[in-house]
Amino acid sequence: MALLLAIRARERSSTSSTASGHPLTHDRLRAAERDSANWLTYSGQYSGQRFSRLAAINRANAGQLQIRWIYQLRTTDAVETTPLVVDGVMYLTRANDVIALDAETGRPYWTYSHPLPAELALCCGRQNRGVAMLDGRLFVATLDAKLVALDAATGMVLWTTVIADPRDGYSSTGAPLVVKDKVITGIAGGEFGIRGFIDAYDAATGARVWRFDTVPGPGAPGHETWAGDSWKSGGAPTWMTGTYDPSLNLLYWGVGNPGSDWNGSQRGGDNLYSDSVVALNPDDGTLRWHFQFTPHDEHDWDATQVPVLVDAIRDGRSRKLLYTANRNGFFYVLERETGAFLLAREFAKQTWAERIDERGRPVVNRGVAPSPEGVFVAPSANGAANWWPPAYSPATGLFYVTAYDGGATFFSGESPHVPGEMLLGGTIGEEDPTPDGVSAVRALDPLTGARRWEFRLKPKSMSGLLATAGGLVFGGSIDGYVFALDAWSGADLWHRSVGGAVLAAPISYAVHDVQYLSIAAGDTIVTFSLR
Amino acid sequence: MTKRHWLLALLSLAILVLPTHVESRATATDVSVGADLFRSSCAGCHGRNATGARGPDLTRGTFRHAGDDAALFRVIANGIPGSPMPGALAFHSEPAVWQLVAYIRSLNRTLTAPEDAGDPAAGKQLFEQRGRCLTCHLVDGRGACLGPDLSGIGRGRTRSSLRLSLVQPNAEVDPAWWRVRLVDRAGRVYQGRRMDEDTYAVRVLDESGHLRTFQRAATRSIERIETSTMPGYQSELTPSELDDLVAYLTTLTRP
Repeated sequence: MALLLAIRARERSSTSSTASGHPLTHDRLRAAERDSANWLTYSGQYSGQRFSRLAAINRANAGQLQIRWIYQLRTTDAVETTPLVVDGVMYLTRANDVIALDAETGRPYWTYSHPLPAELALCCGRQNRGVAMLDGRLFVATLDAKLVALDAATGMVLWTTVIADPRDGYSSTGAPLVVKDKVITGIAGGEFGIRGFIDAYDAATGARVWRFDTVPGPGAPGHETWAGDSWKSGGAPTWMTGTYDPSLNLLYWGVGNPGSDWNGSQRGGDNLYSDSVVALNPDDGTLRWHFQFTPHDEHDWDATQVPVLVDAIRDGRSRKLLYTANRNGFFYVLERETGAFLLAREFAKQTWAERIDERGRPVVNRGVAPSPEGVFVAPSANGAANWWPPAYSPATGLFYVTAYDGGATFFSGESPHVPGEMLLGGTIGEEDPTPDGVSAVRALDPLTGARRWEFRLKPKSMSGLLATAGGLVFGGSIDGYVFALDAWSGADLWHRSVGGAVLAAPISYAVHDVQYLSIAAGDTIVTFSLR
Repeated sequence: MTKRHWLLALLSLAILVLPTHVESRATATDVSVGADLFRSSCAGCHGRNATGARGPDLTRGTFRHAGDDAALFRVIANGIPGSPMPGALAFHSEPAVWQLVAYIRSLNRTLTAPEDAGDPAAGKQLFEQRGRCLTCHLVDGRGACLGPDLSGIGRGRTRSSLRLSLVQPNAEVDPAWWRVRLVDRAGRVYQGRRMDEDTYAVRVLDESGHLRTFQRAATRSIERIETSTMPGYQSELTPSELDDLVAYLTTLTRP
């Protein structure tokens, strides 16, 4: 029987060609959970769960995973891309390039290179995290803050739209999200005194349809949470990709830190909507609700992690929930129709808050604000978690996140705002001077926020995760391992050294009925399968 | 060194002194020898007809790095530092370089049209209507992706080379637009644009717009088609209509 199956598998994989299929419509995007052979959006599906229903690779055979192909990106930039896979074609990004590969062999169809100006204001190097796709068009947001639409078959430019002026510190690094006929994109530049926003563009023409300012202007609700003119350079960037609930027609997007980062004295108030998740109507960009995790943040705790949308039984009834493991060290559960706060619990070391009160607002400890002499606070500026995306498995009901128990010394200082230049308001000292800095993949029970298991990583790692119906959680480490954990127990079932830092999250897809696992590591894309 | 080469060497000195007076002294033989040299040493980057490929079009008569024949000689002889353009003196004698100059100078006398010929507005109409160029080409996102994006075609292409492409589409086909015809083991035939190929596989954009990979081992035959799918407009359009079309194409200069 096993032999017969093997022969059939070989017959399938020896067919003469792979071919792309029907167009990627909005209806297909809505049903991405069931389209398990493909990875259609940044998070694989609108819910942001990063859960693959493919189970050919599972707990019983994960130990037999082998490298199938490697694609060399030949770059010195950090690779943070999550590829899309649509009907046998993989679309991925380098810092300013889009590349189409045959997903079965890893060989190239085409490359698009976006011309960049010589000078760019970037806080953290040149990165791009991926593309969005609709109806044969790819959308990429570029380091010089443009949105470009490409023909997916040829890589030819269909339109280019200016999102913002890069000379003022704006840049784009996140993968856009397509909702209906619109391309939604955020903006980066929170360390450059920008004023953040979330934009929607017409997928056909590139015309901007709406803009939601994450720092409200004069007259808008929330403007009063910024002292004086501080709103003009308030930061609150939106550099990660959001999620979408078609049943509520609501878009969920995480918002980053207020500027300046470590000196809040010039921006008295809560500084909405920095460090918040906002729920927007994707048709017109109006705000339905917001929830701020860290009011008046002075520790750079962006809330940009992908918000994970889960329907689950809670308090005896089925509820529409939003899960997120915030950079500030707390795991939150919100009701996502109204934004009502349901739960917060520490998932990593934190020393800044005594507790989170019944409305979800932190009760902040004394003496944690950065000072000229320096104050040690956990988490560090890099956070208890960060942009690297978490995963959720409907099979185990567990939320998986790469977490870090560590802190740093925060120093405040003065820095006047000069457009296009950094606005930090201080510095951070050496991270984690204590020996107890622990990095781990943690499985949380969303009902209580309790830790079910952890898999410790050394050195500190920052990889995104993938959960699968095969009972696996895939991730990677900064020192170049890719691993598969038992989603129920956290047991190490398989690991391979690929020799390059894993920062992004893995994906899974299938071509000719063979399941693949693919991940960016170092300056390569590595793809595994059972041989 | 032969007598003729001595003569050319002397000629070159003369040109260095009086560059504008000497270019007409190149003989038909010099041009012909230069053409042979060009095909063996330069066509790889500049195209068989010098209309440009990886390197720039050399048929337009004006050059970014060479204002006169002496400067053109220096560029060919020494190359352009910081660019892929090598110096020809590493491989060829000075007289041979002058023959290359003679050949390149001869090019822009064959297909020239007055710089102000044609009406761009009329050309745009021809392009979009009777010529049906948007059926295959893209201009600023309008049209189709079955041929090259023409949004910036007016940059670095002369009227003469544009005209040549219109009347003789097969004169110079960018390898990026070559096509392939494959027959698989079952006898099924596939045609499409050749996106990429290697030892083991050919990657194709097929006629229904799908990207496909064909393993060579699973095909019966693979034939490369290096001709253009574009019709020639020699008989379709009058000379003045060609002027209009060319005039319009020169206005397409998106970076």
